[in-house]
Formats: sequence, C-alpha cells, structure tokens
Amino acid sequence: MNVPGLSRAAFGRERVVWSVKAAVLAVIVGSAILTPGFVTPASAIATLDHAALIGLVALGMTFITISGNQLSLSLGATLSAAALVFVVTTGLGTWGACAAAILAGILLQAAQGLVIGYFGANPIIVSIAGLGLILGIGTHLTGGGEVYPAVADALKPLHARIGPLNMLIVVFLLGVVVAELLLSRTRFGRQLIAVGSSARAAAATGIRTPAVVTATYAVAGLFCALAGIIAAARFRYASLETGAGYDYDAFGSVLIGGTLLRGGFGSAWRTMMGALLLAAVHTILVLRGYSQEAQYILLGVFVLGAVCLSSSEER
Amino acid sequence: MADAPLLSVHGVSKRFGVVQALKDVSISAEAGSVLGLCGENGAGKSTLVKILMGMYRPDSGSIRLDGKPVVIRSTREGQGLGIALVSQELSLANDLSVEDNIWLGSNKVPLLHRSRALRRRAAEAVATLGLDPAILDRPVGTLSLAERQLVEIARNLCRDARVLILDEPTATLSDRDIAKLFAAIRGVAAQGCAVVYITHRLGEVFEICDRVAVLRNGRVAGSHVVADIDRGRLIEEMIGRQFEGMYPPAAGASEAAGTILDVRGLTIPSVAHDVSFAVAAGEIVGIAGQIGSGAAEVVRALAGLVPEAVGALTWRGRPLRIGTRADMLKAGFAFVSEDRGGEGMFRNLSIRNNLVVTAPRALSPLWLDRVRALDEAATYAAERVGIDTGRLPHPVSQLSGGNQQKVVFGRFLDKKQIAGNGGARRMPGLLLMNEPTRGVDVGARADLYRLMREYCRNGFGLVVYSSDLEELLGMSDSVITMYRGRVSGRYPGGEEHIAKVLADITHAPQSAQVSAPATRR
Repeated sequence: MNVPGLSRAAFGRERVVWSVKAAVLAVIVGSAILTPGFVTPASAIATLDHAALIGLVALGMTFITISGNQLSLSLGATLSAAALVFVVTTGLGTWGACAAAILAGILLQAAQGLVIGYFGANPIIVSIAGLGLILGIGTHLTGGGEVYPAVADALKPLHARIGPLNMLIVVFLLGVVVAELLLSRTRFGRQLIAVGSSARAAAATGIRTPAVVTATYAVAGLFCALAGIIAAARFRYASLETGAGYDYDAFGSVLIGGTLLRGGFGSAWRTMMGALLLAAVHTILVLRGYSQEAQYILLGVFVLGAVCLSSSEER
Repeated sequence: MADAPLLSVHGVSKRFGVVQALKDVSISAEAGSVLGLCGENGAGKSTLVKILMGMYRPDSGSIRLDGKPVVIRSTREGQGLGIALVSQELSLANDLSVEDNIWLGSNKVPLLHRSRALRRRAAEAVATLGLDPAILDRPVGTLSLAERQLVEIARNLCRDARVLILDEPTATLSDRDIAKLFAAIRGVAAQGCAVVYITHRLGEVFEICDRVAVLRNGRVAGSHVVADIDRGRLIEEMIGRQFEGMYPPAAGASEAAGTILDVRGLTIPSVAHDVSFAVAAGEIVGIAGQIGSGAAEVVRALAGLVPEAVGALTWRGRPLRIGTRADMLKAGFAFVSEDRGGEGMFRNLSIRNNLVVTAPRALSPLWLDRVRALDEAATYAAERVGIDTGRLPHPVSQLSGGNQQKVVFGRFLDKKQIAGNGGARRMPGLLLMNEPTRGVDVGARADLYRLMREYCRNGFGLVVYSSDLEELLGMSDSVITMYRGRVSGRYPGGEEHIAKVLADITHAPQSAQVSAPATRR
C-alpha cells in the first residue's frame, strides 16, 4: 500500500505545522495592530521599502534554492560589486551605468553557476570562494573605501517616484512579477524546477542541467545587480560594505516564505511574503523601541523554525 | 510441524483515512516452508509487511508466533521477536566488511574486540546461503547486488530471525543470481525458518514457494498449496478478472518497412564490444542479457547517457554521432530509465508537470509558455495512457508504480493531435526502455505492453532491455542476446525460444538448460 499523507503520523505533523504557522501569524498581526503607529500609510511604505532591498536579493536566492543548490553566500558581495560598477561607470549615463552594473552582476554569479553546473562543485563552497574573490579583488581595486559617483547627475532618474512608491519598491514589485513568470510560465522555469526536483532525472530526460544551473545563477546575479544599483543611487556612494549581511536576510525570506530547501518547489510570491513578514517584524520592533540584537535573535528563531517546519513537510 | 504455525495472522484489518488497506486478512507461514505473497500494487502487501514489522498497528485482528499472540509496537520489537525484513533497499554500509556489516548494530557484539565465536557464527550464516566464508573480509561495496542481498539475509540469520520476509528480492537480479538466491532461501527454510516471499513474478511462486496467498484490494483472494494451482488461476485471483493475452500481437504490417536505426560496432570500454543490430520501422527489438552482460548499458548508451560509448549509428538514413542525452533527445531518442524513482520521474512534481517537462518548443517558446496548449498536451497524454485527468495537479508520487510508469511513458506519446494548437512537433522516433515494468503490477503491465505496441504503430521503433525474459520475448519482434558484453545470438520474438535465449545469456550448453532457472515461468 502506498497512501502518502494519510498515515496518522503525517496527519499529526501537518497539524503541528499549520498550528505553528497560524500562531506565528496571529502574534505578528496582533502585535502589529497593538503597536501604535504601525497601521499607518507611512509605516506601510517604510515596511515595503525595508522589504524591497532584501527582497530583490531574496528573489535571486529563490532561483538558487529552487534549483536544488540551497543558498549562495556571495549575493551580498555581488550586490556591492554591482553597486561599485554602477558608481564608477556613471560617466556612461544612467542607463549605461545600469547596463554595466547588471552585466557585472550576471557575470559574477554566472561564473559561479558555471563551476557548480559543469563541475558538480558544492554550491555553498563555491559561493564562499566567490565571496572571497569578490571582496579580495574589490578591496584591491577600491582600497576598501567608499566610492562616489563621477557624475552625480546620473543618479537623478533613479530618485523618481511613482505616487507614494519610490524606485526601489517599484523595481521590487516588478521583479516579483517577472520572477514569478520566469518560474511558472517559461521553459527555463520548468527546467529549473525539474533540475531542483531531481538533477539525475533531469539529466536522463535530456535537460542540459549544467546550462540550466548557469542560467539560474545568472538570474540571481541580475537581481543582485538591480538591488546594487538602487542601493548605490540611494546612498549616493558604494562600497564593498553596501551588500554586507544581505545573504542571511535574503535566505531567511526565502525559507520563511516556504520555498523548500531541498529544491524543486517554491515561488517568487512566497519569497515576497517572507520578505514582507521579516520587514513587518522589523518595523514593529523599531516602533516598540527594541534594538538591533532583538531583530537578529528573532530572525534566527524564524529561520530555524522555517527549516524545522519545512523539513517535516518534506518527509 | 507439530501444532500451531510459526507465524499466523488472524483477521487483521487496517484503514488509512478512507482507504481500507487490509480487511480481515488471515495467513499463516509454517516453519521450514516458503509462503508466497502475491498481489497487485495497492493490494495490501506492503501494509501487511509493515504491520508485521511493527511500523503500523492493526486496527483489529491479531498476530501469533507459535500460537501465542504478540503485539509488535516497533521495528525493534519485531526484530526482537525474530521477524526480519529484507527489502529492495538494502541497509548496508558499503565501506565496511561483510562481517562488520553482519554485526553492525547488534547488541551481541562486545565494544572492542572481535570474538571468534562471532566470526564462526557469521561464517556459518554465509555458508548456509551458499557463499564462500572468505567473503566476510571483503568490503560490501565490492560485492554484486545479489551478494549484498545475501549478506543482508545473513545478518538477519545471525540475529536469530525466525520469520524472514523477502520483498521482491529478485527485482534487480540476473537469472544466475536468482538461482543462487533460491538455493539460499531453501537453506534458510531448511534451518526451520518460515520464509514469506513477496513477488510480482508469478513464475517464481512455482519455483520457490510451498504455499501461496493472494491479496486483492486488501483481502485474501486465495490461499493455496502451490502444487494445486496453475498460473492462469493465480493471475485471475490477483487481478480479479479473466486473464486475457498479456502481450498484444505484433503489428505485422511492419514487415516490409525499412530500417530506421542501424547500430554498427557499438562499444563501451570494458562493458560492451562491437554490438550491432538494426531496428525496422514499427519494430520492437529486445536485448536479453544478465546483469553485467552490457545489455542495459547498450540501451543507456543509445540514449546518450554513457559518455565513453563509441559506435556508428545510422538514424533514418543519416549518420548520427552518439552525443549527450540532450543531443540524442533532439535526434528523437526517448528514454525510460530502469530507475524510475531516481531517473525516470520527478517525484515532487505534479503529474501534469511530469508529462510536459520536455514539452516541444512549439508549446513552450523561449519567452512565455502556451499554458493552455501545455494543459491540453498533458490531458491528452494522460488520457492516452489511462491516468485519471482529474489527478493531473497531484504529485506523481501519489500514484502506484504502474501508473507512475505510465506517466513516464506518456511524456513520449505522439502529440500530433494537438499539433493544431502547437504547430508540428518532431516526435521522438525511437523509444529506449530499460526494465519497462519493474515494480509494475500485472494489470498495469498489460496496459504498458499495449502502449508500447501503439507507440510503434506510427513507424517508430523501440529498443527494450528487461531482466524478465518472458516479458522480453513476449513483447519483442526480434531479440538479440548478450553475454559478457558481446552479442551471442539473434532470435525472432515469441516465448517458444525462451530456453535457447536463456542458454545464450547464461552461456550454458543447450543440454544444461533444464537446471533451475529454465523451469522458471
């Protein structure tokens, strides 16, 4: 007999998973309502803004996680590198600099995808090596300091707003739509999910697995570059510190959204929800006067919880 | 046998949600004998085994050992009572020696030193199974699959197993290894164990079992002394309807058709040498051979999965270089793996997505998919292979083995009828199949055989390897036999040649064919 999901143990597990999820949401919604100043347009925009930068990196991470390669630790560094390329190339005009930064982001990640896809190298180790190389070479070139744009006017178009939404939020929301379409409605997305579900089966079916993995990292690089460009435009300078720490928050958003660590299942929509949830918690903590360490602790608890819950779902 | 049977199951029922997995099942196994347990996928065999192993608790009914009721709450308790299961997934540590594996996790082993008594015990156990005691020092990783299975049995013997449950032990074995395994099973039974032998292969029931119990829809459909029952009756009991011819007739019209694939001098270093054969339009070519003969690898090589393979292919009149899997797919070579769980399907994906994973460009251009067309393609394929279209969004892992195989097959069906929506599609023109019905029950097998025939009707060809000779000969229009990497014979299809084919692949002289394996079936 093979009746998946029907054994008593599985029923019990599912119930636990759902009740934990419901409880967490209830606590967050409850404290959001009870926190003075949270349910206001200003704080909604602030929350969205906070979610967007992490969210862009998280969208890139989503592709990597779904492809079965778990996570990358070099996305933050790629963001920094793209931001640096952007400020350095502002002489090319806004869009020229954007193109250069995007190209840099794609190349930096695609190179790692190439090594992972064609040599079967451990994705996390490769990303650590990538992080080292980017930081090392970046420090050599920039001297480790802040780099200011040669042509400050080039930043202007990126400070435009659409109604109450700034450029960051607009790019993020568009990014979610594009990522969702890529994953669910294209040949690339279908092959990517197949590779994440079973790389062996994908290869036996005739999918060019190494090429798909390379493309996956290239897409991740694209999203990092978008985040890098907007970060540079906002801060009006770039440094290797610009993207520091984003990997962890991004990965947290992916997992909290419910994309499975083992690959083959997940969506951009889920990642957006994960990023919004983290951002909402951040806003609540700020409004209530908690310090940075409380945020770190909560993020740790959330990531741990998400992994435990999702691995019990994976069984 | 004095009074009560060694193992008896009385009126056991088990329900999962709305599914009645077992209903009032009673069977018994005597010491010193082999009980065959047959049934289609979903008949309740696995549930019964899991109850015996303490993984599930029955809703009602009882289990008795030597006539005494026992309650088995966990696998550990089951083992303590002497009930042991050897399943298809072996639990051996490949880097450790056979002896270490035998005692791994046993509470009899002192912490540090190797006792001579333990060594002797292990040697006795492997000797009972017909293995050379020198094997004890070899790492398990260097053994054949059959030998590993015997090691797993030896491990259980050394833990005083009295009831040994074997779950489809021959699924991956060659005929010669099966003969060895059967000898070992007889040895185990002769020591006073009760053996419960679960199999899909009916021939084996007649070869190794003393009694046979048939499960159908969770109930015992029949229980017989093997000597009193014939094959047809057994099949009827398993599938619950009159059994008609298993293998559909060959197309016939294909006789005049030309060669579509010509394979010359296919060589895989140290696996296969100079293998040549041709496939005509509409033809099913079977490759027979034991494990290690290179037969399965030849099929994989044609699929583009063996990088070191070389050979001259002529495909539809043009030379074709053996390339990567993706290259071969592009040329029109579809492949169904022998390892359905690992290579054949995407366990976590829906049935729909499994069906359209290699959808043609017409349905899935570089930018956005034509979702409607993809849905139609999936629906069409599901209907053709006989999968309930309402289940398309469900994970493929929820299906039985037979239905999973149908989904894998459905990927390669002719989608000409939907071409109006998606443009012309260049269909795979050659289907390569390894072990097309492994883990597939009798009813679904007949369906798959019909689908294989239908596939060939469009002038396509099919090359199949199967360790089930009866199936191979029943399905194929022509058969080539392989022995140690070389072609050793060529035959027309049809079961009448089974003795010769068997002699060829085991390289036994024709006169010796009356030995154990030949009486199988």
